[in-house]
Amino acid sequence: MGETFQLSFTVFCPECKEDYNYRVFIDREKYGLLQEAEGITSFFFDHGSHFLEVSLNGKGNVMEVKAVPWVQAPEGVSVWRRNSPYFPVPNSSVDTLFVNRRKRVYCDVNWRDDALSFLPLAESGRNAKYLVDGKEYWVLAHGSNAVIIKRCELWKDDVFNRLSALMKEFRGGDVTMDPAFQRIFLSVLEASADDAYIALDAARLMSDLGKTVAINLDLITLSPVPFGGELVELLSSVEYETLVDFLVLSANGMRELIKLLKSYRLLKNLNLIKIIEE
Amino acid sequence: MKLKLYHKTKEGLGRLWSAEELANITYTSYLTLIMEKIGLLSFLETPKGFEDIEEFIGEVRRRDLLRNLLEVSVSGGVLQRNEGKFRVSWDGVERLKSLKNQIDSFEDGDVVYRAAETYLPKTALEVLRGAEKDRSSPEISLTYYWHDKSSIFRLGREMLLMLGGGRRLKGKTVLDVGCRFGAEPSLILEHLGYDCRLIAADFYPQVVDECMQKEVNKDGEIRRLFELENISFVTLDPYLREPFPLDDSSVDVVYTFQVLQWYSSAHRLIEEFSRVLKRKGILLVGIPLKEREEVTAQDVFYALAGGYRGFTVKEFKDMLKEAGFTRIQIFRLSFVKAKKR
Repeated sequence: MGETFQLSFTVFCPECKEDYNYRVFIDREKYGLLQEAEGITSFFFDHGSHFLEVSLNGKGNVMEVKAVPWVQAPEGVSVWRRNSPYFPVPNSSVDTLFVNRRKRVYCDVNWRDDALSFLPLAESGRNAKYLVDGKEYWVLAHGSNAVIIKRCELWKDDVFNRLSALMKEFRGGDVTMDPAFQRIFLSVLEASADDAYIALDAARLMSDLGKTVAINLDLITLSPVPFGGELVELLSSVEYETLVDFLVLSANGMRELIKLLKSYRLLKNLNLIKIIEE
Repeated sequence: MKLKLYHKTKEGLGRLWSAEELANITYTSYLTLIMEKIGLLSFLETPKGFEDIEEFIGEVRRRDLLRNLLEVSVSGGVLQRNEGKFRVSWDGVERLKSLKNQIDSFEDGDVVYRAAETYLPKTALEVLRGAEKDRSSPEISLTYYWHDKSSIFRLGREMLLMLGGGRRLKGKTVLDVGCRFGAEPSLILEHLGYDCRLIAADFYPQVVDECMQKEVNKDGEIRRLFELENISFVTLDPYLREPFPLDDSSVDVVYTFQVLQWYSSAHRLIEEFSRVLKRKGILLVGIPLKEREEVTAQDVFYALAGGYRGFTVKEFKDMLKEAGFTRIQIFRLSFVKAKKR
């Protein structure tokens, strides 16, 4: 057995109204996770009708304690936790499930089926296509993140590879929690029936999330096409220097965001938008 | 062939203006627009000397270029000169506008005109004040982007292809130098029924990147250029310190449209064209040439936009001959075909 670390803590369960003393042993790998940049990890304790979620920081201090209703996991699947997005997620007609395997969390705001029964599809961490009850489901995975999508009939087969490319460009943390990622991804899915290349175009913007850009609004405003109308409004609504994520979150609905995704590469290639901070 | 080209030109331009007439009206119009936008025409409501004009523009470092701008504006009738002082001729401006309206092609070419109106006044001011501009600056990039959308430029590209033998170029290896945002490669591919090996080259990686994403309709299906098997992309060194990344005698045709007037090192480019062309390979060049050596409105326009200048027919022919080209044909002072010896 490898090296293990012991953590002890006392927590109050708001559901049982009682204090509990816990001692957990974790191996090097899990301890390593605890030390990661975010510095927060969660442990789950079975309290019968509910489970207690205890979040610890990198020093082993208790940061948060929550009583969460128990969800029966399907056989072979460890406990998954449902995340609600912090930011409103646009309504998409495409069933989409955002998953983070390492954190065992998912976000199902755009999923109309039973999420838990589909989560095992993401376990392998590989891109794959599955047929479930005669319907095609695509799993797009990168690192610990995955997105499960119910394929739209109007999509061409190429869309799968292009969505994989889009997924790979995301260098943020957790797709279940990242509003910019979710907005981009859902908009791309919505537009992919009409525009098979939208995922490739969006990948350019996806790779710039977290970076700061300068926008040459004067020149953009002087161009009646192809940057006119809504896109100019969007670009005018943000600061001259802005975080790309903020640009995405400032888009007024999918239509506007799709315009941004379609034009972003050209705007950069014309030097009308420049990265000023990586 | 010349008859075909004649008809194609007439079809595109409505009436057959001489190449010099057309260039003069077009470029004097652009320059007048720039002078209007930077407030110079209003400033010249009352006669002003060169120093006053210099002071009005401020921090002028390219005095030669400013002088040339004033000279060609006098020749074009937009300015009048009296006892060394310049004054706007509103009658001349009106005459020019009326001529511009007579050129039907301006209806289509209006996007180019609008680009000049929109992006270039600021660039012109900066160039006069000594700034170095190249085609990667946003203003010039945008102007080039407009060119890709212009049907007058499309007509020019088609005519150059026609001069090269049109569909007889099928199956050949074609190097397109200055592929820009993809309008040129897609036109070549469409004209040759996608039956050629095309190398799309430009001097800026961001331009090549955009070109790769250009959508074409091949066999009823929308594809992007980078997905086609018979096209490859190369980025060339804009300062030509490095030769083209292509082998000697590796291409059948070099096609370059409205590129050479941007480079003072045009002769180096022509040497490279010659090096990569096979023996008896064809060089096709779209370039504004002039008969006389005097500075023209076109020269001033390119210089103000960060480019170089036009070449005289003799100068250009000499460069071609020196680089090993023969059987040089020039059509309407704009289209050149030559063969490598």
